[in-house]
Amino acid sequence: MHRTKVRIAEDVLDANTTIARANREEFDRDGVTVVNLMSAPGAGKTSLLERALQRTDDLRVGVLEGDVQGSLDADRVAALHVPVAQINTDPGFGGECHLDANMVRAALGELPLAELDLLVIENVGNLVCPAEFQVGEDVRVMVSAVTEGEDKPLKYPLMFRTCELVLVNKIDLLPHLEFDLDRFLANLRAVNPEVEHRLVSARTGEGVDAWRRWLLDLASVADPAAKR
Amino acid sequence: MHELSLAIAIVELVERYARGRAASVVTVRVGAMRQVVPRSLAFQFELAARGSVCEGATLVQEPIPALLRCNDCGSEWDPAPPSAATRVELLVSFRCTACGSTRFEVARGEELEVDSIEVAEAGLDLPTSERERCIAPR
Repeated sequence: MHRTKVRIAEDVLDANTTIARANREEFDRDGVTVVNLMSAPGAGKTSLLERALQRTDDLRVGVLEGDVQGSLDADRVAALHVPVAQINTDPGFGGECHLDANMVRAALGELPLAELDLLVIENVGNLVCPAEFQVGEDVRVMVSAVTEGEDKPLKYPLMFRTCELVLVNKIDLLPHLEFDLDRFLANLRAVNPEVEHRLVSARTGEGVDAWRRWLLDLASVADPAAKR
Repeated sequence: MHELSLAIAIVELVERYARGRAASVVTVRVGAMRQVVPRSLAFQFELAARGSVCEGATLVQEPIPALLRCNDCGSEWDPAPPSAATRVELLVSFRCTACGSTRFEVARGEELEVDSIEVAEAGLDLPTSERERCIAPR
C-alpha cells in the first residue's frame, strides 16, 4: 500500500455550472428570459412579485418558487393565475439554503416553458449561498429591504456584485428608520458600479410600475420575436 | 453558511477521481472573494465526508488573496485592507487605489477548486504514465 498524489485542479462547482449551462440552452431554445430573484428571508421577494404580476399586459410569465419547506409562496403566486412550480429543498442534506442548477432542472417539466416569455425563479431567502450557484438565469435581481441596514452590500459583496438590478424595498418605512439611503446607494456602487436600482414598496405599491416595466422591457429586449 | 454545500460538492468531486480509493488528504484552493469561512468549511467537510472515500481525510485549504486589476490604468490592488486580511466580509475597496476608477476585473481571488488529493493505492508501484491513466476522471 502506498500513497499517490492525484492532481485534479477542477472547479468545485463545475458540475453545477455544466447543468446551469444545459438549463440556459433549454431556456434559449424556448425563447424564455429567466430572472433569478434573490434576497434575505423576509425582504419581500414574493410580495414584489405578486405586485408586479397583477398586470403583465400580454407577457406570458411563469414562476418557479424555491423554499426549504411548504408551498406558501407558490400558493400566493398561483392565485394570480400564473403557471407556478414549487421546489422544496428539504429532501437534500438537511434542507439546502439555496437552489442549484439540478433542482431547477428537475422542476422544468412542470412548467410550459415553450409558452412562456419570462420565467422568474424565486430563490431561497439567503444572502450568501444563492450567489454561488448559477441556475441558468439570464439576469439576477436582488431585493434589499431598508430594514436590513445600509451596510449589507459591504457585508455580502458576492451577492450584490453578481446582480443587474437591486430593488430597495419597504421604502414606506423610511420615516420611521435611521436608514441612510444615500449611504446605502454609495455602498452598493462601491461593490457594483454598474448595477441599477429601483426604490419600491410592496405595501403601498410605490415604484412597482417601474419594477414591472423593467421586467417587461427585459423580456421584450431578449425576445423581440415574442413567439406569437 | 454555504460551506456545507461546498463541502458536499468537494466530496462529490473527489469521489469521481478517487474511484473507490480512500483519500487521506484533499487540498483545495480558496479565493478570498468566495466568502468561505475556513473553520466552517473544515467542519462541514468532516460531516459531508462520512461514508465516502473522504471519510477521515485531512482538508488542506490554500487561501488565495484577492487581486483586482483596474480597467483604466492597469494597476493592481488587494481589496482586503491589511488589518482585515482574514475577514472576507471587509472586502470593501473595490475602487482603484491608484486612479480611483471603479471599473476593474478580478485577476485573482475567485478560485474555488480541488487542487489535488492523496489516495491510498493498493498493489504495485505503477510507472507515472500508468498511474495517470488509472486516475483519469470518468
